This record gives sequence, C-alpha cells and structure tokens, in this order.
Amino acid sequence: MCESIQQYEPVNPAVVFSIARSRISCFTEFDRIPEKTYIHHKWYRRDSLITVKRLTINPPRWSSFTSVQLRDADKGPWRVEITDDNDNPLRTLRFSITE
Amino acid sequence: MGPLIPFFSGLRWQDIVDILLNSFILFRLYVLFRGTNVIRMIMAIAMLWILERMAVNMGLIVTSWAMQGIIAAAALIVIIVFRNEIASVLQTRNVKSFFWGFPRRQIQTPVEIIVESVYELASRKLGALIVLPLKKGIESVVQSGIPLQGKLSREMVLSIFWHGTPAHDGATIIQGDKISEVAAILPLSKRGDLPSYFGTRHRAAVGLVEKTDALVIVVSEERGQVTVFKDESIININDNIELDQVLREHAGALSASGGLKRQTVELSIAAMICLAGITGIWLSFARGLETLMTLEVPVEFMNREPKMEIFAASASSVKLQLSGSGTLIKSVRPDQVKVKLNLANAVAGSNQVAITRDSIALPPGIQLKRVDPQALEVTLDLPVEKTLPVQPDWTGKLADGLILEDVRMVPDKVKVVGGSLVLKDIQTIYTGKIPLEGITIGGTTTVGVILQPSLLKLEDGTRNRVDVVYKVSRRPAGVSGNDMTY
Repeated sequence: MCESIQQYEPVNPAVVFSIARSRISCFTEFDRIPEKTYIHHKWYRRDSLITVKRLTINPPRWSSFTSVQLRDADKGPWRVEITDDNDNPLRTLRFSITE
Repeated sequence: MGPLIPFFSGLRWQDIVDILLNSFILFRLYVLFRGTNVIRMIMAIAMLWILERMAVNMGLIVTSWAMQGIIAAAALIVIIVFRNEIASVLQTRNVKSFFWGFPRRQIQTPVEIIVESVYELASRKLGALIVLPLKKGIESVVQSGIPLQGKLSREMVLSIFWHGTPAHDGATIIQGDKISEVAAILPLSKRGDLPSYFGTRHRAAVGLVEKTDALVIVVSEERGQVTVFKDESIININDNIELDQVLREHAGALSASGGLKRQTVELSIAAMICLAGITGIWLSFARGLETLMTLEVPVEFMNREPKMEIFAASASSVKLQLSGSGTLIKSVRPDQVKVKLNLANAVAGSNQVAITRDSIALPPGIQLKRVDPQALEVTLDLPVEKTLPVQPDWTGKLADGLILEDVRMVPDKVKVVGGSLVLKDIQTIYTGKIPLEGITIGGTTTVGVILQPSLLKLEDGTRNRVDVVYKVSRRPAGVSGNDMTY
C-alpha cells in the first residue's frame, strides 16, 4: 500500500494513511509470468467489500496498481485482498485510514 | 336456582373432582373423629374462622386480629390437649378404615364376660367400679391408675374386687378385651341431687360420665345392686339381660333398627354439610371478584437440538396479564407460572417462536388475558471455532513527516468461538483503538481485541490482548506522492 505511484514505483509505502492524502494505491508486481492472466484487487473497509478491480498481468514481468479516492467516512481499518482469476488468495494487505 | 347458574358456568371436570375429593376427605375426618372432643373443638374453630372473615369484611381491624390470634392458639391447644385422643383415633384403625367404612364402637368387647363377672360380684356383694371408655379419651380425667393390660376374664375381675386385694379400691378400666388399668381414681361429682344411698363409687361414676362418654358399672357393696351410669342416665339393672342389652348398645352393636337409621341420617347430613362447605369454599376461591395482575416471567427454552446453542433472543422474559378471583390471584407465586418455548422445530439462524397458550403453565383457576410480546425471535446456531487474523485499528493523526511503514501483530491470529452463521461473514478481528498521537519512533504497544458481535468469544485460555509492533520512518524529502494512474 502506498501514497501514490511514480515512475511505475510505489511512493511512501505504509500501513497508516491520512485522510488528507485523498487517494491511496495498492501496487502489485509480478515476475516470471508464463502467460497472460488476470488478478483482482478487492478493497474492503472492515469486512464490507467496497470495490473489486480486475487487472491484466502480462508475461514475463508486470506491475499494476489500483487506487481509491478517500472520503471522510472512509476512516478505519481496511484491507485489500489480491486474488488470482480463480479467486485464490495471493496476498492480503492491511492498513488504516486515519485523520 | 337461577342466580346460581353464573357461579357454576364454565365448571370444568377438574373443579368437580376438586370439590368431591375435598368433600370426601372432610367427611372421612368427621367419621373418624365424630363423638370426640376434637371434632367439637374443630367446629368451634371453624365458627371462629367464620366470625374472623365477617370481622375482616366489616372492617373490624382489632377484632379480626384478635380472632386470628385466638384461632392460631386454639389450633395449637387442640393438638396439645387432645393429642392422646387424636393418637388413639389414628392408631386404632387400619389404613382401609381411613378411606372407607364406618367404625363401630368397640364391638369386640366381650360383653358376656363382663355380664357374668358383674353378676358374680353382685351375688357375692363385692363392691366394684368398672369403666368402659368409648371414644373420648379418659386419660386426662382419670388419675393414679395401675397399668395392667391383662386379658379380661371373670376370674380376673373377681380377683381384682375381692375383699382386701390391693387393687380392689378404685376403678377398673376395660378397653376392648383387656383390663387396661386398675385402682384408678375417678373425679367425684359435685351434684347435690344424687340419691342418699349413693356412696363414693356412685359419685365417682357420675363424676366420670359428666366429663366423658364412658359407661360406668357400679356394684353396691351393701345391697349388691348393679347400677349403670352413661351420660346423664342412671340405670338400675335388674337382671343380666338388661345389663347385656345396655352394654351392647354402648359397644355399638345397635340392635334396634332405629339406631342404625339414626346413624345413617346423621352421616348423610354430615356428608351434605361437608359437600356444601367445600363447595362454598371452592366458590369463594374460584368465583370471587375478578382481579388482574401482570407478572414478568422468565422464558424457558426446551427441546432445542443438542448441537445447537441459543445465541440470541429478542427477550429473556415476557409479561403475562393474568386474571382470576382476588383470593387466587393473591396466592399466585412467580414460580407457579412458567413460559416454556418449544424449539423442536427451530433451525439454525433466526426463528420466530410464538408464545401460545400451550406454552404457558398457570395455576388452576387462573386465566391468561394478554402476553407481551406474543412472539420471540430466537437465534440458534452451531458453535464453531475459527482462526482469524488480528488487525490494528489506528486512530488519530500521525505527526507530519512520519510514515508508519510496517506493523506486526503478536499473535497475528486468534481462535474465536461463535455461531457458524455469525462467523461466516467475519474475516478479521480488530483491536481496540490505538492512538497515533505521540508516536515518533517505532515500538510496541499492547491492546485488547474487540469481539463484535458480543456473542463471539475467544477460545478458552486465549489472552485477550495482543502486542502491536510498529515501525516508523521519516518521510523522504522531495517526494510529493503525486498520482500517476493508468
């Protein structure tokens, strides 16, 4: 999880983000990809699913990210579940949105 | 008859059984104790009770209190003073006689032996005083008797009253076929109208029959005359046949059909009075002024599937509005009213369980007017365990120029126990709020976990607190964090 993406790299990775940032991103990087595939970024606030985004991953190495716009009501603990195209979990990233 | 119809309307078969059973019990008590002082005292207490109720209804406060005290004291006195009489009534009868039959009066007394003995005593001019008790106890009246408990025989009676024997002076008491006591001292009558030829024996006989229902036979030492004393009667016996007849009547062998008829009439009247009395009491209890009361009763759940647990109920108690006669309503105890909900058909999840009349147990004579609420929402579930990750719940504002770049939980997972339906949608356990203010460098803090909903609990023995190990770094200079999206 990071504050932004610059030059295809995550900027200021962290686990706590201020609502003042107005936007946060989930950056994922894959290598040794045999063939074109898809992954999902599932954004949850507490245990409520907020949004799901489908991303394309191309061989041999690929980076991609998703972002969400923050509102005042979004404060609290969040997580992003990264799953493959068959909904198998690959990684879960946990963070908080605060003042 | 018309005005009685409303009283008896809605009479259940249980009410009829109730009245008949209690009438029978009252009648049997009368049969067992009739003729004794106990029954008279009980009747007197019943009269006092009626007076006490009247005093209460008329608002005579002190009188009603006094009556209550007198009744309580009288009941105690009856038991203490008449304990021997009560014991003799209860001990001399078998179990069957408590429930059926009408006890005859000591018909096993060998009348022939007594008649022969008395004839022999009279012919020999041996003075004698013989007591045949009936139902009233004579223990409180007779003094200083020598217990004998010997088998009754003509020879034994002659020996007792033979001149110069130690026991010849005093009364001999015959109970059944036994001589129970000899040389007993009877109370002397103070009557002034007795014939002048009556001696001490006669006066003692009169004294005893004034106070008991015993029959006393006196054999005059001077004249050889036999006299029988019974209640207020003084019968001069002229021959054995007459004595035999008097003794048999006393013993209960009612030769005359009139005696049997009289007894039948007496018992019939007693039975009717018992029935009327119990019916009156029943009506006063069950058909008094209708009174309402509201009772909050805890709900009991039964017949749930053993594997499932009740995780929630919309209420743990219900309000019941009850009605009945004032007497019955006042006597209702909370433990007599039960609300039992049958969960045999309940499934995992939320169930609407109606509170029907069948699920409410009430004391007899009490009616249900209203139930609030009329249904409960009961949540049943299978208890399961689930291991869930723990996530910190940060709050506040981190100082400018700092980044909280990493956090680690120790332990990072906890085992939670709860209903399967509840746990199905829970993926994370969160900590309590962790303030960011004051954090400048990395460190560790300890915080409790929040189990939401409250039906969840940690596995037994699991610590409710976790350590939060965090790492803080300075924000790099010149990195703005502007977005680049695709």
